[in-house]
Amino acid sequence: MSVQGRLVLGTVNALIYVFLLAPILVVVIVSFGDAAFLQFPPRRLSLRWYTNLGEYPDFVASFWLSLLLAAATAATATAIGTPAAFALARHRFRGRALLSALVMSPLVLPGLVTGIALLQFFSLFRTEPSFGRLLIGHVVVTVPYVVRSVGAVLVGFDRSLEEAARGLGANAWTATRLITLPLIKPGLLAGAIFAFILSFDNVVVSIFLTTPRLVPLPIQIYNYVESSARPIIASISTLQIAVIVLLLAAAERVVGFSRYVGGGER
Amino acid sequence: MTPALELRGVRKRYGTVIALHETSLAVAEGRLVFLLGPSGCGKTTTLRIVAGFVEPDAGEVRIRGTRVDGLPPERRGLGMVFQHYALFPHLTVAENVAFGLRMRRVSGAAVRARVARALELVQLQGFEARYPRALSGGQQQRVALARAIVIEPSLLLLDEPLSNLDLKLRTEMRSEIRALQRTLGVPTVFVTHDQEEALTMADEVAVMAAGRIVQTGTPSALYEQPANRFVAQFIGEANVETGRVTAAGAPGAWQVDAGGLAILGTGAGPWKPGDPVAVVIRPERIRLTAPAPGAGVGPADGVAGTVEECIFRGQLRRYRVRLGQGRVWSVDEAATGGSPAAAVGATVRLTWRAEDCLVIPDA
Repeated sequence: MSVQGRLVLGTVNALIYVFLLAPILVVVIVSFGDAAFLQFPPRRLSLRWYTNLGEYPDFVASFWLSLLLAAATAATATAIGTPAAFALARHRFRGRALLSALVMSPLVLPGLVTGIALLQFFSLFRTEPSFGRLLIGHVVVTVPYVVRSVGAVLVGFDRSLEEAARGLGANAWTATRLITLPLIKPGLLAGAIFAFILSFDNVVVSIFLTTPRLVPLPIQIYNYVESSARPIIASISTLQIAVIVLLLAAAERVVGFSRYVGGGER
Repeated sequence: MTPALELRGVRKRYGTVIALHETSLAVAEGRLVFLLGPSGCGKTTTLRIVAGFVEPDAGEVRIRGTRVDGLPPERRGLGMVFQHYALFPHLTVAENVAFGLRMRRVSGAAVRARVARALELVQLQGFEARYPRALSGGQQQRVALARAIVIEPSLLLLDEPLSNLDLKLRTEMRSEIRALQRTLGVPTVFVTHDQEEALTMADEVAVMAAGRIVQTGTPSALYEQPANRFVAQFIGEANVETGRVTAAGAPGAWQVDAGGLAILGTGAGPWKPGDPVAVVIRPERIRLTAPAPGAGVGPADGVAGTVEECIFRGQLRRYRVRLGQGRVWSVDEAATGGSPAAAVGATVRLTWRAEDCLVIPDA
């Protein structure tokens, strides 16, 4: 590639990153301001909106609720989505297309529709508003991502590895546990992280399933923004971003995504 | 004696495609038996039925007399080497080799000793801590072998294990695998499409085509007495002509008219004049001479032709001789240092002993 070509490509890439990241960066910077209102750029820097988080117990409660909800969603969606991905990737059975469409449908339906449908479904069965409701809602919308990412690694998986394990004395489950699962771990973890992040910042489904006592963080922020513009919004959002960044960094250490993406050596 | 492996009337079909017609096969203790055939002939299906990865539609699979069809692969106690080795990429060489022992709950010290011994057998000491990706193709092949033999399998199954190696390494590994198999005395089924591999290594070869075993025998028996045209052409090189029997000579001798070519050959028969047959003559069994002036053209005098090409191959010279009517035969002459018997363009006479020309059913 010519020097000019590199320059143009580099510039375009840089602009794309600026476009994507600048708004987020603004939020982070604002959170370190000293003013009593959202101000950019901040006149003076301070940690005020972090140290006084305790004065906003609703936000703190919502933060922990969302963290718990996202973790439970990631675990449940992975536990449900992984076997579904195995079935869809490996077997030809009656109703396979239907199951595939069913599992993937939350991906094509607007989240709002899913939210309303879940609300009607729950009221039909007269269940009490609860954490369980929220969890079910979030699992429904995140399972497709797990199925997708696990399915993608299974398609390229060399099944003679499993056969080799079987031939050496491992039963089907042991072969899956010792050979298949470790090797598809990047796909599993990617699916779980997708599920976590999608749950952690989900609004459209949560909004129909919240209760006065169970308000996930994004809904809390949403409600608060309607009435106030205090920088607490920025600091709690920054914490939200920090959770996701930490999660990705931890995953990188455990699985080493870059190894799979960039083809680096172990 | 009970064979190490016995297939009785095993069949397999996929939808409307018959992968394996009713097939029977026995492998005696300590023998190296090849399943040889072109791709799609059913050899891999047969091996996978033995291994337990494919359930036959009918028939029995017995290992040392015990029926194993219906048993899952992990309960058959076989060692298998896959075409692409199927080494576990997230485990080290030592962990790969130890896998089968761990499944058998062998104790830690015993595992280490047996892994070391297996790696020594395949000459890979010092590679224990490497990952498969850091090994060459030949080394991966050795790890796969070590992993298969370390469990002391009652039967070793090899699925085209050498097809991904370059020619030189393949030749080396042939002798190594053969030697290893002899040392261990483990009965072995080796699947390949490479006839040279089968001829040079096998105790016994089952030639397969279109879902059937067409002939079973030692390499030399298959070469000398092919049961049909397919085997004749698949094993070694051969000049093959189709024709009809014109007359029976001495017992086992037949005169054949192959489209105007009068050929004298030997075969089991019995045939009547007019029966369709094929004649098979190996290139190295033909003698190439300058035609004697005024020589006859009877069957015993061989056939006349023109040298089209002479290829020097080191230990031999390969002539391509045009016999007319689009027929070109191969004739090999041992290269002993002298000058070629004939030049390109020369008219020559090809002769052979009747017993070197096989008359076989045309199938």
